[in-house]
Amino acid sequence: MSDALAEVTGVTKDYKRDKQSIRVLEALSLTIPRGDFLALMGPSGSGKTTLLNLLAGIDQPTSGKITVDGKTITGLGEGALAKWRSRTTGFIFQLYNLIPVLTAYENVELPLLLTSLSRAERRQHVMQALDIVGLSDRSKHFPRQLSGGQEQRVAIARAIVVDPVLLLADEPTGDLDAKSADEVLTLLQRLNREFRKTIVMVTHDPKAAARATRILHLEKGQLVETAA
Amino acid sequence: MLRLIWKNAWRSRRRTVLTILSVAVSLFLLSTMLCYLSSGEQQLESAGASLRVVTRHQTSLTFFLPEAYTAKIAAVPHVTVVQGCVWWGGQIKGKEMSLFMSTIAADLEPTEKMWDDYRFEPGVLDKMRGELRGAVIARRALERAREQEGWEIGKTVTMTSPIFKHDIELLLLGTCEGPDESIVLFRRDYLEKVRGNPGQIGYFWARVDKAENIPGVCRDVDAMFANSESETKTETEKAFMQSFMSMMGNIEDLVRNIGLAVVAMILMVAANTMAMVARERTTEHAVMRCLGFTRGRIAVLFISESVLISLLGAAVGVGGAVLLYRPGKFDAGGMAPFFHMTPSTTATGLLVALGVGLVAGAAPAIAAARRSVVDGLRRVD
Ligand SMILES: Nc1ncnc2c1ncn2[C@@H]1O[C@H](COP(=O)(O)OP(=O)(O)OP(=O)(O)O)[C@@H](O)[C@H]1O
Ligand SMILES: [Mg+2]
Repeated sequence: MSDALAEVTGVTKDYKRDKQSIRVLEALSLTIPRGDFLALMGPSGSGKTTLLNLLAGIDQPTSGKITVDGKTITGLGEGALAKWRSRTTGFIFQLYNLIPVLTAYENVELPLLLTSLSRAERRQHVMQALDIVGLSDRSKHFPRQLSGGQEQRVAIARAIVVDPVLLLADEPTGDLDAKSADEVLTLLQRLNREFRKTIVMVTHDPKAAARATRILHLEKGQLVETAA
Repeated sequence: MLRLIWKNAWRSRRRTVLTILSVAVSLFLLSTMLCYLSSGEQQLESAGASLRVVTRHQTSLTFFLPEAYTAKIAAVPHVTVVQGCVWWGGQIKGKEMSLFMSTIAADLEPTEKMWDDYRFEPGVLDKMRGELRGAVIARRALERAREQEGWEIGKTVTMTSPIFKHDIELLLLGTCEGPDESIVLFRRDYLEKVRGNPGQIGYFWARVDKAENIPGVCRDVDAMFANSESETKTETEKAFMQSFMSMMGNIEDLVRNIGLAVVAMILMVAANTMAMVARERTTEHAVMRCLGFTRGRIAVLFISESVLISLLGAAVGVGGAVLLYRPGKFDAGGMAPFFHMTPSTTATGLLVALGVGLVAGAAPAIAAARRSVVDGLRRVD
């Protein structure tokens, strides 16, 4: 078990809406080995985003336990979680979610502002991350001056700039055309193979899922494994 | 981080500019009102050290006292000199509203001793002795009247009064400098001649030898005229000024209340802007928390932005007031001789801005910090 990066054990998640309670995940257990590139599929509303949020520590399970990189994150306080998150996970969103008033460079730099790195050190990390996603020449561009695919690559640079062990992507290609989607997926594959990042990617697109090393289906709060 | 706050603040340029301007205009108004209040206080303060007391009719300042009281007051122990005055309240004919001068008809002889805090142009009081219609005018008052009316030393000017029906013609003989920069002093015997009604005094100034004897003198003077036909009320210069000011209605309280209303208004404008901003950034705040920003840091960033905007407003509004209401530059048409931005007035304006920024930013910041990341992100879909 020593090479398991993330361990989800018997996790149940209920959402209360008004007085009713809906069970989204039920006694779900999952082991994500180090270096895994996992694609998470399933019908809309099956709880994919919920599972991803639990892994990122931005949501807490109703019961059960989650351990990432040797640390149990269930029950951690807000401050400790935020600190843990800033070092351990990188989040990639469907709609990129870059900050419009900041340049590509500044967007990537954002997570580094939480560290004690000097300006020069930050610069080095930012340029390296932009170089990995192939956008060094776009560092001074604002998000509105970039294509969707480029925006998503900047968002990926922002996710990897702190060198986290776990990348979480929620439908990262959901808003992209086929060519841009392909570039993004190639990039994720490279991050997985070359930089040994463990990736969990939610997707509706079987072609995207095919780029992963493993595919899991989430249905009615339960996981069903399928060969990649 | 600072750059992020700065860039965030200018995200919607027009909205930020409008907010800054409305904060600036309100703070300028507030500064003006604070200046007004502090000028009144300073006037009183400068009168506080005075050794002069004022004797007036007990019923009201509008009743006259007999001239014969002059010698009687002068005979009270510790009184060094007495001067009978009539407040004439000078205005320029046809321009009653534009120039205000506190024009006073006074006994000439005691003038120099009584007004030791004024500097009279050398020889001017001697010249007045030889000229019934002679007058001495405060230097600042002359400067203003020169600009507006072409007044010069040596000219004869016509003035009207809000109280008396006759006009007077004064020959300007020279200038003086002192606390009241709007003063015009002329001979009481000239006023008597114009009115044809001698022996009437509006109020008496009396000088006391030492400050500790002032209460005794006030008591003795009033005791002397008790049960006479014209009973008196004697009080310090400061108390007299206070009652004179309150005669114009309780403007101070009004100004103070308007000031509070203005502060409330700035607060609402700023709070409204910041609430709008917070709503627009819901998703972004959630994204930043995904990146590891804590609730606290998000709140601090947001409040800093709000404080930045209101301090920029203060820079324009309070800064403008500081530039405009400079000592010697601005004197509110002579109505308020101490109408300046003092350090404490400036500090009050800046503190109000700081407070507005904090309060306006706090509520949305707390709401933003409380919202769960998941809820914030869900707003995207
Ligand atoms: N904060 C919440 N309050 C109430 N119900 C919620 C909340 N978040 C999620 N749900 C419910 O939980 C279920 C799972 O949501 P989730 O977003 O995880 O689905 P998903 O698999 O990501 O769907 P999609 O493919 O459409 O993104 C849905 O039925 C949703 O309505
Ligand atoms: Mg989802």
